[in-house]
Amino acid sequence: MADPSTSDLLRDAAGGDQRAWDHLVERYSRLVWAVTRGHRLAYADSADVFQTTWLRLVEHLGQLRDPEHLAGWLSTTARHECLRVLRMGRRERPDEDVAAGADPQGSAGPGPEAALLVDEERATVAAAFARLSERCQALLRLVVAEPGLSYTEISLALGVPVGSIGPTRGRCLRQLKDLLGERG
Amino acid sequence: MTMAEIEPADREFLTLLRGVLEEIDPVPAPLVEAAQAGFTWRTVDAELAELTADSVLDGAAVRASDAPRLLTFTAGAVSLVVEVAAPTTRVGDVARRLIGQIVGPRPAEVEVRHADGSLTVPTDDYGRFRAAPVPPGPVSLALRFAGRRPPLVTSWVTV
Repeated sequence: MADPSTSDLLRDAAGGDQRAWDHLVERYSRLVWAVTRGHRLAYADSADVFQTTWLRLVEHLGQLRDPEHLAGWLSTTARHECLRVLRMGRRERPDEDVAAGADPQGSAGPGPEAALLVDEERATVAAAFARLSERCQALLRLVVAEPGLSYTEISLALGVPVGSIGPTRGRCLRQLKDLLGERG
Repeated sequence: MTMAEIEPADREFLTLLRGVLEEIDPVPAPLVEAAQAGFTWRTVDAELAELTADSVLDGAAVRASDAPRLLTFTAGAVSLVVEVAAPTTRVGDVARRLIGQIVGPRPAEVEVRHADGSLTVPTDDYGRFRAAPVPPGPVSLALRFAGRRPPLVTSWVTV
């Protein structure tokens, strides 16, 4: 069976179809998570923002029928929630280093570090990514997140001018490659 | 921008980077499940009150740390103002206290819907209500009125 289109999923979810909703969440979770992780939030706050973003979509399904707008709507909504939470000053962000394998959930199975050891190249990339500036990390998370975002959507999700996205992306990628080059 | 619009040399590298990020910072499965379960909060017969003002975003960038947060929700001529208070000045994991007033039809029954369930309180004759404890996290209020007026639900917001 072919993957249903986002347009079909939106229509069916708006009509009350739980399975269509489940599909939508699966398809766009990575994107919403990338936005929340691109802000300076504690893990628990990222989790709350993620949840609020999806609940907000539940209420707005009737108004949002155009699949072209969904990625932008989700990332903009998530960004605004991130800003609220940051302004509330709910929690200090602990010195968590995601790329170093922090696993706040204590999920079962081999930890991220163990998984990375399987593939040295990936481990090297992860270590280099962790050394990038927060701005570069946030941007690159959105650049690679699927479904892909337009420059305009990325600019809304990060709150930076759309004209700066291209140059910043180029610079961040170069920095990442330079960091990888250092390791020879 | 889609991956197809990126130069081939970068595309391969970005694909590698995507795989790495999915591995070191996956979307936590319990969060995906909770988002899917959130569909049960869907309301079909209710009118939606949008969040039209939030003092943490609309106010001055630097606020007194003990200033209460005010949320305003609006649907047509009806508005709902909610003050979100935490019993300590450090707004961490402590339960919230909501103090609200409906400007419009009243009295009403107010259901505070949150991540762990919900609690329902009545308003007084002036449309005022208090609800506590409300766990920090996503919150939405559903107002039910006497008579034939359809219920009203607010947009979800993190408190």
